[in-house]
Amino acid sequence: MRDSGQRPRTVSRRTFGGLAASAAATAGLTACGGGSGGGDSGPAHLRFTWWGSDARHEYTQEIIKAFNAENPDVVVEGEFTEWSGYWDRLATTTAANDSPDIIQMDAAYLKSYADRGALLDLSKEDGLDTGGISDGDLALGESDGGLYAIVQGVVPHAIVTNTQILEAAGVPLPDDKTWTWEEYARLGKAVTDAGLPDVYGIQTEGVQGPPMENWAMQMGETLFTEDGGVGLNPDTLASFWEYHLGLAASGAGTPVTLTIERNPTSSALDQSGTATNTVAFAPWWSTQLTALAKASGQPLVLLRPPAQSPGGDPGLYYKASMYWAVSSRTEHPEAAVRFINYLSTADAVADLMLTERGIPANPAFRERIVDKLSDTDRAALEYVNSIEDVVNPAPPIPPVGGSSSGEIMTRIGSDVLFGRQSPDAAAQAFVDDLTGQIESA
Amino acid sequence: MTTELSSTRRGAKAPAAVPAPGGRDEAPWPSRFRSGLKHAALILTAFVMLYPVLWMIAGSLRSQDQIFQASGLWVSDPQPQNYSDGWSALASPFGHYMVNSAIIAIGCILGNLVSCSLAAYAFARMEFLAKKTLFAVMLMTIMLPIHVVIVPQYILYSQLEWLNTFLPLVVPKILATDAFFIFLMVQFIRGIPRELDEAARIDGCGHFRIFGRIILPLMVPALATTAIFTFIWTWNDFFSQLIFLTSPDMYTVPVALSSFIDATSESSWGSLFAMSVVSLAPIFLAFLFGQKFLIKGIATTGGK
Repeated sequence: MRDSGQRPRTVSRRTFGGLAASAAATAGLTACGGGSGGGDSGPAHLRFTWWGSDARHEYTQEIIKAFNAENPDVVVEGEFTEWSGYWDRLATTTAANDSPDIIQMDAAYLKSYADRGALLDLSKEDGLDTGGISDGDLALGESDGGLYAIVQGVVPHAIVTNTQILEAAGVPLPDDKTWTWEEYARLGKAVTDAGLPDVYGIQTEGVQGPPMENWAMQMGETLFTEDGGVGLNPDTLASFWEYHLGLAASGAGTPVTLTIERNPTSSALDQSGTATNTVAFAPWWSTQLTALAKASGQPLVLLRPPAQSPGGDPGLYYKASMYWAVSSRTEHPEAAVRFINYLSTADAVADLMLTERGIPANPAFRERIVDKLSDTDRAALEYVNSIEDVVNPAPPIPPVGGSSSGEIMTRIGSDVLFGRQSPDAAAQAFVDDLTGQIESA
Repeated sequence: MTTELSSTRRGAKAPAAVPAPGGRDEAPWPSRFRSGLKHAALILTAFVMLYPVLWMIAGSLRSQDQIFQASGLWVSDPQPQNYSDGWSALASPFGHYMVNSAIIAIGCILGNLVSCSLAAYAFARMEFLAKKTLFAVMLMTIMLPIHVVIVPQYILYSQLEWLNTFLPLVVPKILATDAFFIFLMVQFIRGIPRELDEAARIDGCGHFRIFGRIILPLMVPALATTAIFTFIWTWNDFFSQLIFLTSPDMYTVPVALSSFIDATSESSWGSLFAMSVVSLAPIFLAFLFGQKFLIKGIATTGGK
């Protein structure tokens, strides 16, 4: 699943800005060229771009075929790459005023593109029909009052737990409705102490963003505020690092070196502790369960993250796994909106996509596909349904410049874990750094 | 005649054969030891340098779950089907992408050889207005990072409707845009004695004749260096091919390889490594057959 919040970002905000600036400089040239693509006669040509793996490419092309068959006046053509090349290409084509009409969008980049006027405000378009997607989920695609993207899938945090390791260590499966971080550490210590070769209880965190955002949410804080500032209190971040330093020191969690080595921003999912059956508990996005289970080969279950106090708020929210957006330069907004309607509501899409792009935001999709899913996919879907009563509203999406939060977290977090900075000083440095990034954007 | 030949052969052989064993015995022990030590160090360093490649080859023969769990280079249970799986894993067979890459590489090589050698001749042998300034400008283009020029280029090619064709990748090479190779050839031509040109001139040759009959045959090492480097750089180029080629049919080897990996879900590492080994083969062959020219070309340019 293409949805963990922290990934290497090859096009930085500055590169994007530079590209955008050079596009402005050459805008005249583009304007003279006139439009390409069909006029009033003939079918409307739409370019549709997405990132992903091979399996996604295959079924997405099936979806395009089905749409083209039902809409003879529109021809959709697919363009696709993997994640990092995708943003390089999208930044270049957008800067050159030649971006594809329909764009698969990620929360980290949504505001950057929307605020620069690259995306169409869908709330102003006629005929948008997103089926039963709730207003709360639709709000995930809003920026400054405009609706710039339609959420396709949602995904919450979870603790992926290896029950086979727990059994071998003689540790009972905890009740995730009442457990606390204290109990989490105790169980982790018990697993490590059981002495299974190379096995630790908990994947220690501290260098990637999502577990930290989950911790902040439990304190009632969000990384960013609605008005595009930093909402995180340094004390909260310091307490997060202190907790995880404690895990590493007590032996409940993996040693610091392993934590750095397995940081998802630098290593593949297949190399993680969960995938290699060397940790019992680790935080993940819930939809990664299937890929993890396939790599691990052992029974994995999803638990809610522990709370600060028994029965407290587990800090869960639905993160948008991905969105559909329309380029503001499209020559066929009506046809593009029709295609987005199709992606959001058509049965054929539900059947082909299943949960590959996140747990569908459209409840009708969920009902339709639940019996067709593999065991792990169904577990992920049921997990999403089961937490409905405790989810918080989603935190504000990153402002322009905010998408570098992951890199800052990795850099400063490594310093903290290796003891080069105290958690307090580092937390302040993180907030200052991120604020600076946003202000200079 | 034959006896004479065979006798000289025997004669040539004999003196070489006699001192050889004795010479070896006579070599002072410390120098043998030292050279042995030097070789051991070199072999060790070579092994360290080659380790990632060897690891990749080993990885290409391992099963998915073994790749990151097994250590070392020993493959206990070879999985040659990684190669057949990888070959057919993408929308087209992998050979299709290799053909695409080869078309671009050959086009670039031809373009660079013709255009850069002509430009280099002009800079090295002809006098024209603002020659020094133009030479400096040309050298400065080496220092422009691709990120600076990619957007204007993209707009240009988009206006020409060249996107998703090989033209943006090949046509610029015909216009001598690879300043590095021009510089290399200029240095080489400067090393060729001017007397040769003058002799040709007395015989009535114009610039094109001097270029074709005198300079070109003498600069074969520089041409070979250019051809080999162009091949390697084009074959390995990822960014511009990613930007200009949008349809999967037009993908080249590096772009196709990148679609095997997907950092947050399962990636087909075995197939990726297998196809990486396959796509290394042409580069390896280019080096193997070209290294003689490569060394000659570099040793004879600029070193005087």
